Amino acid sequence: MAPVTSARRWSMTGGMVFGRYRGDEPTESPAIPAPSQVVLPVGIPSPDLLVREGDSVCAGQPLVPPSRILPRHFHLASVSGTVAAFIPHGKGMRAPVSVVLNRSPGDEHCGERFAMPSDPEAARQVLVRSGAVHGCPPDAARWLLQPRAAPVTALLVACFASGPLEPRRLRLAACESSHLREGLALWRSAVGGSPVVLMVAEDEAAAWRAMGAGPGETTVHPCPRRYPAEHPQMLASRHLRHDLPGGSLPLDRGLLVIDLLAVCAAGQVAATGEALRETTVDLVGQGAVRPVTLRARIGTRAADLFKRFVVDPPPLFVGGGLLAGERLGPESPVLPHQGTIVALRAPTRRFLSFMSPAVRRPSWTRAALSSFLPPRSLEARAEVGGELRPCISCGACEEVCPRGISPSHLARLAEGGFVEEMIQYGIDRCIECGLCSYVCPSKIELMAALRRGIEAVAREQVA
Amino acid sequence: MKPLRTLMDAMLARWGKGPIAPVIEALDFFLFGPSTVPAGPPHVRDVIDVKRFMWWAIMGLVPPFLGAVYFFGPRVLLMVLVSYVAGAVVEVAFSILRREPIAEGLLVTGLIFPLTLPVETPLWMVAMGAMFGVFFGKEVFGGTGHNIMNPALVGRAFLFLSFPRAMSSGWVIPGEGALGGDATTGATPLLTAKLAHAAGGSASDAVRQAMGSDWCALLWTKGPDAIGATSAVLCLLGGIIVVVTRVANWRIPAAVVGTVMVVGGLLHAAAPQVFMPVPFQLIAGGLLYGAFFMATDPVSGPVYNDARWAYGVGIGLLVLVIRALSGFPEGVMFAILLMNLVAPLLDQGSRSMRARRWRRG
Repeated sequence: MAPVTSARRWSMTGGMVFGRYRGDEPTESPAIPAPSQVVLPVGIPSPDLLVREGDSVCAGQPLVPPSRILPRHFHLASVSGTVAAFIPHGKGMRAPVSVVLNRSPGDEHCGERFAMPSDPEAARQVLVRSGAVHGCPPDAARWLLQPRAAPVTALLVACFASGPLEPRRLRLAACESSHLREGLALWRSAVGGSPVVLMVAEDEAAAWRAMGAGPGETTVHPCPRRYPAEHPQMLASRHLRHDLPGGSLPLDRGLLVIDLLAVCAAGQVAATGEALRETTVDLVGQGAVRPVTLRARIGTRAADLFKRFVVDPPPLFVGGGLLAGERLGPESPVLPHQGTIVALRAPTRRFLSFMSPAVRRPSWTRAALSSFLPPRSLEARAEVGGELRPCISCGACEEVCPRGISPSHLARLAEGGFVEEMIQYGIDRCIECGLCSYVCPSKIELMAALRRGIEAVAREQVA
Repeated sequence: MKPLRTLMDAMLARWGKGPIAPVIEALDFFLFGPSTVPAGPPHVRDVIDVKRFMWWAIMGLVPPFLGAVYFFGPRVLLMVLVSYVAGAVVEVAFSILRREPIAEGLLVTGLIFPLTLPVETPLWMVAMGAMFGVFFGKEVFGGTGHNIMNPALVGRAFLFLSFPRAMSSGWVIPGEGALGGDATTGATPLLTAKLAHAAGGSASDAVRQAMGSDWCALLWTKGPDAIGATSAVLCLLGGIIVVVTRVANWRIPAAVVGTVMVVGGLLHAAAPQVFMPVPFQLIAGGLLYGAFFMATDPVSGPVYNDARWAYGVGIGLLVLVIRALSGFPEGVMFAILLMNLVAPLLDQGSRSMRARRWRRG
């Protein structure tokens, strides 16, 4: 690998260090057969699709016209088979749909084949048409899809995750090491040969350097494992060594931020020359019998994928991170770059729980003994853990906020609909990391209120 | 715990929808906590909730409380009990009237308030102070989380201004009367020093007269004072508990004590006949108790860290000024109450400064 930069420091205020949780590191990767049926949310209405009910499709075949590809939806058949049904998401003819495919035997790929491109535009087209665009961070996906993209001066790759129950990405990189170099080369080609910076956790920097994964001008930049240090805004701030202003995106400064999963997806395409059909999913948490890494066909239902690996009664599934991700239903399909799915157990009522020493439950306030004990595996349950109360102005949300805003004050403004004041006090700095809601002792849904505030500001600005 | 759970379920079924529903629900959640699943992200939450928060505030008050029982005897227990019952009457009445859950703030107010009183305070006065504090200090503003002043201090200020004779003559010398012997009353060290100083003595002489010269012994117990503030060591111990657990923000007591040490030291050097020496300022009176347990009340204090520094400095300065220049021997209570009123302004200033900094880039 190319020379390593010196560790440049950007002082991140706020944030939170999460300890190790029980069952956060998968140790086995059992083989998963392709499911008999997959569900692919394509994001456009059925009349605009390239296929009709009863059509035969083959793996890798596009389901939507290239001009209608959307960043958060998948547009390729991930199995060969027949179109069984369309599931509408909403009412009316123009409601976006999911395509249900019944798999047929002989599941060979027959879609477009991709070669390593020679110029940036061709590389970008490969990333889009192969399905590698789906599940990228929103900015990166938009950059890939828009015809006249902004110039990129550096490609930042988030190679760590610092939230609770997030497995170490180093293991993923080791599993995918054969594809990693090709993936980075494909992305680097797409950004016109700009330098690639691997943003890694401080405790893994040496291992990343030793791995030597990157092509050409690739450097390693150690970051603190402090949530949400891996957020694109925070990574860009660290790279630039100054705070990114509110409303400003990394791309405005010429930085394209992607995560390691996007690199792995590109690597898979580059190595096989075929469209994306599979994705890697880590199943962790106390709702899982044991933590596992699964190689799943895109569109596999969560219930089908996990039925062998979860405890009874079925737990709650959360994808995209425990703090800012979304809950998945049993019918939710596995999508590209799914990353980690956490299986959480339901809450239990405990006698005088507020007096418990909490040796396995973490607390930012240190009002839990776990804060003073040696590192041990912590527990996470899907529970609020207290009653909703009026804000007691403890300032915890204010202290953990990595963007320096006052979530409690902005939430009050959002509830009152004070748009000008919200802008004045920096609501556009919010990166929706969820830490404010996490630490709030009054159990106020601060992040939800801030999201409503952000939407209100956006509505006002459009009007 | 199954029989208790069954009993609670039966009570909820019987009274869960009626006028006393807040009481039944409060009891249910007090014993077993809620089992709510987060409606949206984040899907896991910090173990801290308001009950745990208040529980650790009470843990911080345990050393001064136990010290008070040790120094002044079982009457302290009676005072705390009366304070809790009287405060709870107001709190529960408002919860039923408003059909809102019973808030946990009373758990701390009920304990922190009687520890600010002299041990000889009549129990009816304790009850009246607690009720006044909860009613006018908290409930009329909308309940826990909405009050602008510390309810315990509002109650104490009410007693102090309404019953000045009782509030200045019930000071018992620690250790005397604790085990049923005859209690000897005396003036607080601050009052003794103030009187000696008013009689024409220098500040240093007044301090010697008030407290003697064995400063180490004075750290343990310093003479007649508010029952919770008698021992500086125990106040510090409790203060460490609330600061380490982050139930109290360390910046406020640091700013209060730092200001009294630095500015008080300078003022004493400049005008020793007016301003008492720093060790006396720190140990005598309720400075440490107020700095760790009263000024750090999150609801009535500022939210921002820079505002907290200013708030603490303001309290320290006001304490120095009131003690030296006003007719009152002690200034901690009024200093905190006055700064409670200024706290929203400090927060607003802090917010505006940040907004300006962001606009400048």
